[in-house]
Amino acid sequence: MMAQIPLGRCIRAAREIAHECNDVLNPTADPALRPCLAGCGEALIRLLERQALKLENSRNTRPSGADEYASGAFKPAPVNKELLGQRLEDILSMAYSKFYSYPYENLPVCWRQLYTDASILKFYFLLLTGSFVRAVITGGFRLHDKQKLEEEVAAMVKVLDMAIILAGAAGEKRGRKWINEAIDELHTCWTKLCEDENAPVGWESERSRHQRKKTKRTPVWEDALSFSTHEPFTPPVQNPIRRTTRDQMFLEAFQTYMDRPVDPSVGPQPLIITGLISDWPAVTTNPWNKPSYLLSRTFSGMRLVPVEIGRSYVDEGWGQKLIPFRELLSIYIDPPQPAPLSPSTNTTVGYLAQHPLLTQLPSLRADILIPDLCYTSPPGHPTDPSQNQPELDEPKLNAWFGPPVTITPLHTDPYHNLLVQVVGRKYVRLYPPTEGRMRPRGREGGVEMGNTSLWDVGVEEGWDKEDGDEEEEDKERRKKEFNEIPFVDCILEPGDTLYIPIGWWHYVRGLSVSFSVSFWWNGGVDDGEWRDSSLSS
Amino acid sequence: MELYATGFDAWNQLNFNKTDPRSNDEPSDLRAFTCILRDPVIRNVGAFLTYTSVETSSGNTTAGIVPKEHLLARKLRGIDHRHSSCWAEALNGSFVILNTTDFKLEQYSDSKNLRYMAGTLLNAKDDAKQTFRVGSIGRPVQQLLAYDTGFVALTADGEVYTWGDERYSLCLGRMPTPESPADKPGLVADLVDLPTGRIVKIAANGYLLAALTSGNDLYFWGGHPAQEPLIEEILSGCPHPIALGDHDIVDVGVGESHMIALTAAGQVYVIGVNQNGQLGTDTHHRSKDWVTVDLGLHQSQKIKGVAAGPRTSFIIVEGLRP
Repeated sequence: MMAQIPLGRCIRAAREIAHECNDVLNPTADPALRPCLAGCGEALIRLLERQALKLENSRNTRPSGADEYASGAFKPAPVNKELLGQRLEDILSMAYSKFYSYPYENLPVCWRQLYTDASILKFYFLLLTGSFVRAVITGGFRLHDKQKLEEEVAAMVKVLDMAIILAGAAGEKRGRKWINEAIDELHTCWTKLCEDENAPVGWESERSRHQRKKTKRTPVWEDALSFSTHEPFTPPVQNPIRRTTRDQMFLEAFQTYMDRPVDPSVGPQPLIITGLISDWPAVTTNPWNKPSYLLSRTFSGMRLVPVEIGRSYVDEGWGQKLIPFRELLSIYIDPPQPAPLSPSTNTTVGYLAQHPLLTQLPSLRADILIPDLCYTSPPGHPTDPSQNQPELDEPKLNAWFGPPVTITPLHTDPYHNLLVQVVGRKYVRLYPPTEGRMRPRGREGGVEMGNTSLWDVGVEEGWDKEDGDEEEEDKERRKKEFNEIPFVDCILEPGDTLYIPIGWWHYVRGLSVSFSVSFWWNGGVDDGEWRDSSLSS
Repeated sequence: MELYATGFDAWNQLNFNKTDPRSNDEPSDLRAFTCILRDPVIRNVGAFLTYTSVETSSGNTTAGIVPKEHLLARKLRGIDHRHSSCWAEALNGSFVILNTTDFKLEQYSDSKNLRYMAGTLLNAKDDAKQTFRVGSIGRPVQQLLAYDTGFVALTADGEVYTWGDERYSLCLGRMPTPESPADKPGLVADLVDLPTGRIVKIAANGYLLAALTSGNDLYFWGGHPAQEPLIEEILSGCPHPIALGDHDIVDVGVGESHMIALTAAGQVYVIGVNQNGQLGTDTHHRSKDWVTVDLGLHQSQKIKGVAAGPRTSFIIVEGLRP
């Protein structure tokens, strides 16, 4: 059977987008049904509509229903490919400049949808103008240059991943679902092309191909190489966090643990739960510690991921960029020649941090299970109710994947957190929310940084080099002050889960190649405190 | 007079021949300076992303698609000849209106407020309104412009004030302090007491800002940390004098990623991104150095000024080609 080429869905999407644009421009439409795109204004909607119509028409088939939205004014015209490609870029760049100009939480959703829909059209444009479709239908790699096809496919994946990462794949009709399915279809086509390349040329009948497919076993990853467990530096654990097992800390026990803290003014204490993830595919059949497995789940490493470059997000020279997963592995995480990674050298550290990777890659999401413990109802913030957030419908998942010596500086989060260590080891240090000596940052460059501390644990402990030319005396006084603040700490082993209660300051340092997943959750706040404040604001 | 233009033309904003901007035909960008208008009077070129407005002998004319909010603002404020602009809209939706009687600035966080204003003429919903005054009381504001996340105003005394989103502090050209925060008009002290006189003109778009002195020096500041700097090695929170050979610079236009300058000798120079043909040169993507532009004018013609929209450039020429 021929693999599904994502062309059909593209034609339908172009038609839908043109319809939506027409609904925006047509004032007779019911205002309650006005598409979200309306907020982008007439000029951009007309521009988007024209490109959608052009793409839809470029198939030389006059689609049914074309008349009703073109109101007779539309004439099929020969398509100027170069101009079409440029106009799609124009729409993307105009939508993107909106992303910068607003603080992200204030960005009207119409701009995210405009970016997403223009990305969908650009994906269609690349499919139409490249040789990928022809290769799938006809000759495979026998007639087409594999490297060129691979570049084409990577460019198509990139367009859709940018829409996911930058624009959150916004839009009700198409959005994330459309993009996920399109990538799946593309992946199936690509896999088939690659399989055909390995099959003997010419003689293989449909029947034998079918049989080969049937007998093909799922790959076994046991023999594949694992990530290095090398640790350039291992800090000492000074005040170990209590450890318990999954059997002891079942759902009800955990609820009680949180409800009845030793010291109610501080709230529940941090806790390590072992064995919580022993049944996750990520640590059994679908091993996340094998680069080859991760590549197989990221479209041969072509999927794009955001990477933080630099030691820590408060450092000078820190930046973020989007790179293919394959490059994240080959340049930053698992370089062929292990670079001497230590903060004292100038080696650049690349960290996939706080990214909803598992939402972006549903196939990796299937390798983990949301711990039962996230279905408890934890207490609110022990000292500052204004920190409490509206109740989450489901836990917020983030992935943290990086080489040794990635650092998340000392900070607090407005949720309870289960930090699950899947691959490698991490050092974590915590300070209670009641600690008054944490030196929170203020507003920095227009960004609220009050949840991040000025203390650099690595520098104060002498694990990392200090920059700045402070007086020796000041340095000593500061170190003394720092050393007086009580804390708890631990090294998380693969399979460990650390419970970080809301409001606790935490410093996280990767020791080896490390892959963690964090689950943020909260409970309904009984006293209705946040509800009142959110209503009055 | 003649108006030449080049660049982004997706809505026929460079076409004054009454072409329907709502037609389904896709206009190409102009990739070279082209004469788009002839009229005895051409002044006050307002170059916006989706339209161009020009004052001519027969009044104000526009090309392209004018956003609803701009139509309202124009209706509300009209075009005041003493001021090249009486209102400005930033890309983040904030809108400033200049009261040309008392020179107070009224700022709205969202241009949608203009709809209320249009209904009740200035009795807008006050909750989203802030009122500012810049410079010494009663002295006129000569120019008011927006960049993507804020505003810049020039007073008749030659003082430049900036305000906007603190995250892009390079555009402010000054250090925000508790006394003079980013979001309130603050004097750009580096543009006071300059060697070649006071500032007589400002230009802004995107994250780039420029100012011109009466002695024909050009100062430039701004930039976006994630974008390639327009002029190499200049990504600056302080106004920086720009050398264009030994030339005196008499006019300037700033786009979102390009700049156009007119020298005292009547030569036009461009620099920056050329994605949409905004430089009007053969370079395809970006010119890192100043490039001169030749319009091939008749000897009786003279270049009077330049202007830039976010992705367009304009040259105003006195005299007609015979």
